[in-house]
Amino acid sequence: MGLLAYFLIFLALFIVLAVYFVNAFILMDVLEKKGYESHKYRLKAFIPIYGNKVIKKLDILSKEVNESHINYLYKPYYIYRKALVVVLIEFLVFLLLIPLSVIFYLSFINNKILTMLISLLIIVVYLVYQGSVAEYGRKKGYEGVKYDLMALVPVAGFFYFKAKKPLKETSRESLKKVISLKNILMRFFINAELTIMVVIVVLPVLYIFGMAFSNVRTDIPNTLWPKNPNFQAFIFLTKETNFWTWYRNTLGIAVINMIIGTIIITGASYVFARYSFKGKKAGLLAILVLQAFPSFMGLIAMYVLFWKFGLLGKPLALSILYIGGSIPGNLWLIKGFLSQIPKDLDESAMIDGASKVKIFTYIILPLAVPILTFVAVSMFMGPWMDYMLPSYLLDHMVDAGDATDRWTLAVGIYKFINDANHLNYSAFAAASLIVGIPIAVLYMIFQKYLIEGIMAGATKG
Amino acid sequence: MKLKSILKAILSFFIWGLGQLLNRQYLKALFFFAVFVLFIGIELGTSKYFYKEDYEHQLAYEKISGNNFDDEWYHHLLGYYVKQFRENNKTYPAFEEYLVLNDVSIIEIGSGRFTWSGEENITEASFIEWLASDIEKTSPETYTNIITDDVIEKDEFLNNIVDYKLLKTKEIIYYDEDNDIYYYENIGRSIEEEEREYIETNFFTEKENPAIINKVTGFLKYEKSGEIYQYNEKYYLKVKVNGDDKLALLNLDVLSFIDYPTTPPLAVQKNIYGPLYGKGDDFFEHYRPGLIHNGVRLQYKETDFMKMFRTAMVTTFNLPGNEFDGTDYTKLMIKVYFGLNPEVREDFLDGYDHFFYDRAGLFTRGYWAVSTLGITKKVDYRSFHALDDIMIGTEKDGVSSSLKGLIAISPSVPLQGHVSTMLLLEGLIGVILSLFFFIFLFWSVKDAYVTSNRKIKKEEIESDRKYFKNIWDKSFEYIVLSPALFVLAFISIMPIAFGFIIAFTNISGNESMMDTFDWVGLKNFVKIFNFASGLGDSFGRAFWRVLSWTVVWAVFSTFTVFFGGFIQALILNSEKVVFRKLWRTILILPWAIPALLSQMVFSVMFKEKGVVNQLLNSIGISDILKNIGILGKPYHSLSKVAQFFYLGPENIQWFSNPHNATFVRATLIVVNIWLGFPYFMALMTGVMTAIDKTLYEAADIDGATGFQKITKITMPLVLYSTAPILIMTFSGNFNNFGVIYFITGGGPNTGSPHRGFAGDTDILISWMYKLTVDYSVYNMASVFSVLIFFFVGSITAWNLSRTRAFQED
Repeated sequence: MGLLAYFLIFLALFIVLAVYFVNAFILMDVLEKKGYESHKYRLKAFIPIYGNKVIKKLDILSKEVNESHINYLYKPYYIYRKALVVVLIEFLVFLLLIPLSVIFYLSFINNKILTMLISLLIIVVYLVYQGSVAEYGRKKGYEGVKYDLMALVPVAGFFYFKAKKPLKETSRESLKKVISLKNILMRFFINAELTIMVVIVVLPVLYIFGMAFSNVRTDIPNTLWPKNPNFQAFIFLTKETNFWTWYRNTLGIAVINMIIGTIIITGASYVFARYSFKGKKAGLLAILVLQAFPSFMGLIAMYVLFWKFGLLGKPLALSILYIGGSIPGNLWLIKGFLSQIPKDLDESAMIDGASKVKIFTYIILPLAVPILTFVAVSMFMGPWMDYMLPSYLLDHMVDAGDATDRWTLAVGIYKFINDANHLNYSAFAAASLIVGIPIAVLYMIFQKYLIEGIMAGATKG
Repeated sequence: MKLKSILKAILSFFIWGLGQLLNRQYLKALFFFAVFVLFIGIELGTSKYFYKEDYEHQLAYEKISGNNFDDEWYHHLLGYYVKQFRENNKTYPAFEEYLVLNDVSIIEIGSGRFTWSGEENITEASFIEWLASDIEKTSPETYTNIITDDVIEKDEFLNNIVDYKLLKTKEIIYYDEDNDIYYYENIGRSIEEEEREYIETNFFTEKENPAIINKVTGFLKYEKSGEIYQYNEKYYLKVKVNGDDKLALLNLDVLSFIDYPTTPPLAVQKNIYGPLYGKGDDFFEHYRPGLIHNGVRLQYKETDFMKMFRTAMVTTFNLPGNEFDGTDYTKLMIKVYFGLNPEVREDFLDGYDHFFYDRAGLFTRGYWAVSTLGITKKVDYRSFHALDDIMIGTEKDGVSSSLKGLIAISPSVPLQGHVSTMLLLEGLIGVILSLFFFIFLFWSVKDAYVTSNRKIKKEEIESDRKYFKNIWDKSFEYIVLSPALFVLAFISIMPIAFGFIIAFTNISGNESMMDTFDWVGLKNFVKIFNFASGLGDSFGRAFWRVLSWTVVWAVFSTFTVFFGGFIQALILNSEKVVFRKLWRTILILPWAIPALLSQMVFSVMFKEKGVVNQLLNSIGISDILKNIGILGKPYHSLSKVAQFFYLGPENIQWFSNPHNATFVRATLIVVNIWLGFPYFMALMTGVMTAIDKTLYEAADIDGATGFQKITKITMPLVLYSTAPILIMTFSGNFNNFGVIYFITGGGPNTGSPHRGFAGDTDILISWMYKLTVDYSVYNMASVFSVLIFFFVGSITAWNLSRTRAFQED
């Protein structure tokens, strides 16, 4: 059958199902309003035309509701709303079902998929088992990591918990609930989803590792893991490219950015936080507006500026730009934080005769260490992976030349996969690992901190 | 009286601190005066108002590279003159006149021996002036009859000889035998245009109202050589007809050919250098020095004086320890050329000794620069080569009087005009800096007025010391802010102003960074909205296309990531999950990896021969797709429906599908979910754990189902607290350069000018970046960024002005 036919069939199915469910849900709402709770009546809602008739005839049981309430449920506005929700959910379900069914179908034909599915199944079943046993233990009163780990042990784990005396009062029924169908099913789906997500998340990472340990220069690596893992790429990186120069360049920019930037911004934010002066609101708004400008707009100007002062091709000069660009955003952040320091502290200090400068240095600064750290860290991290500025200002000079020692990491890594002169996929992967792993580890360790900081910037202002 | 105060204020305006002085506030007056001096000092220090020139128009002439032959050299020239001319009993009358005019006298002190005095009166400038006039006199514009060799001056020719037409003696023409029509090719059209144009012509001259055709297949090809021959007392033009040499009789009324004689008597070539004007069989050769004809530049005529001049020059260059070189001599040639063409010199001086550009100080120049963006365009002098024969020498000259081979003369002398980009930058710096100073100006004026008023009312005035202490206290804020403000002004504000201004100019193209460009006002903006113009057709349409995709992208990418993270957080948060922290740490990986790297990895993974396609092939999905018919076949062979879902000719073209932009965009949005959901997931798990558990317990008591608990408790609370982040993410995605540039490079179908250089997945910012860096269309890029700013900026400002924090302030 032609493609068009397939498509039309799908569409027809979709519409029919949508109409059916909209009808069913509306009927259920009617039942609810009228006061009928039991399953017997609920089932009637799922029978198309017969159900409509029957339900309409039912009397209203609940006292607060009358005819007009019921009629409201049949109004177009209400139907459209329901229809929208139903269509959305149905769309998502279809979106999920189609690939799933395809994979299912394929698993009968293709070995690879079969093995993948089976391994997935085993993992999920194992997890379900572990979860159930852990819950069993929890119901008995044993909570904690140790017991969760205990639950990992197949078979024996269950008996371990069975033997233990219950610490809490639990009925047999609630224990039985642990292995109820609903429970197991939910566990199954949740763990399946998690496992699949983990696979999806980890796959590209694995790929990069594989690419770094193989030695492909210009071919695209096609397998997930190379046949002969080696360190060639790393050696190449150190010996034949200016990789470590790039590292130094980028590090230099980051450090300068962090130190000088934080110093300049802190003073300014203090003033905004603590004092009201003429033009403060205008100033704040102006800063916000500045932030809204695409940083790109100044690109040409920066190019000419650097050109004039002979700074083109000097990586460290880029820090000027990063500092300038981050003034608005970070000023806002620090100001918000400082505003939350109670003004009473200031006032009591002023009564004691401290000057403004003293208040700033001895009282405010120590309290602001958390946010200052955050700003310093983000100003350090910022330049590492910026590509736009370095590529234009370091590589596009009026008097061209191919000296690669001007580059920063972002530019160099980009060139490994996009520039015909420097094409080398393995080097790209190796460089990405060297640069990416420390940053990733840092982010993972400080994740809570960083996320809070960003959220603080957005909400508390 | 208030009048006194006003007067003092006005005085303070012109000389800062004067008002304070009159108010008897000496410390304040000193303060303002110091700032004033600094201001004027900067202006004067960066200027050349008082520049002392060594010679006239030095500022302009310095721009031509090369040293001057000092006046002294010309004093030596006098000696040469004496040796070559006087000692051989010859004179060059014109030069003698010049000497007399300048009080230089040559005295004969013995037979054939001379001495001279007064040579210090000779300057390079006056000498060149004279030389130019002499050369001009000896090489007047003339018309020479090629048969009779009569020479007629230009004016006489133009007045008396009429109806003489210009001959085209060196070109390729095509002859249509059937219709007896000749054509030549219109070379002015660009090579890209597929159809060539051929214009009807007479054999020797242009035809009025010519017809134009497009093909000359089958026509005879005539190659006119430009060489005139005399044969049997008649004159002919040598022509190559389909490979055979022939001679065409020089006659505008009758066209006839003879074969080119290879046996005696042979045809003799007549040296004709200039263009020929003819009527019937009478022809004149036009001579004007400097005219370019058939690729050759007509030269000025040789004089004895010039020969001597060259000899002197050769000797100079051969002297040991000589420091002059070809560049210096080229400069001299240009000066002579200026002498011959005073209008060119005027233009040169106007442009290169410009008051504002060359002499004014930082502030004055700054304001001028911003308003005019530079005036002088760059020039490339070549015409001075009409002096080659007489100033350098020809093959006829011996070694002693020819500079050929001795020094190298550049074929052209380019001069950099006003570089608008630099000017604009320097101008903005000057203007912004001046604004800082003007703060003090207004401060001084206001203070003078106020204090004066107080004095009149006999109110108490604080002492200067106290005044400054008050200022310190009150303006503590401003003072602390000033370093940051200063940096901000030059690093943030100046570039933005620069970018803003560029949008109103016509800077465009590779050269324009170093070129002069002009204000064009709102023309660029108007063009975008007018699809009829060429620019509007490509860029205007592209703009709306890109803008709509950008908005769609921002909306979809934000919401998919938001809800993806939300759902994942919900699942993670359920009680049924064990080792929650472990799962969360793994799932947050995409956020921890620097976005740049993961984007680049995706671009590699999804290449046509990349891992993903390999995987799909081995699993068998590719086969299914091939069976359905949307993969594996060339595009044009498919039905309309299949074309709508088209995936690729062999492997799935995830990001390079030229026919199915929607597919690429959908893939991009899906890939973006991988990149973005962990952040929201982490955010929301945090929020969810912070939600009061008692809410859930109360809902349980009321008999709520799990689904209802989610939709009525969790969702609203989470949405409410993360909504600001949503808006931030939206505007972040709107400008998400990395995802587009690194994963798709702007999308399939990028790089064609008539689509404005925008690809299918280009969002505004990636497009603008490419316009600036890859295609150098700076002005359009700026126009778009101005438009983006208005869009995004207003939303951001509106949004943030609503937040509580802002209003509390």
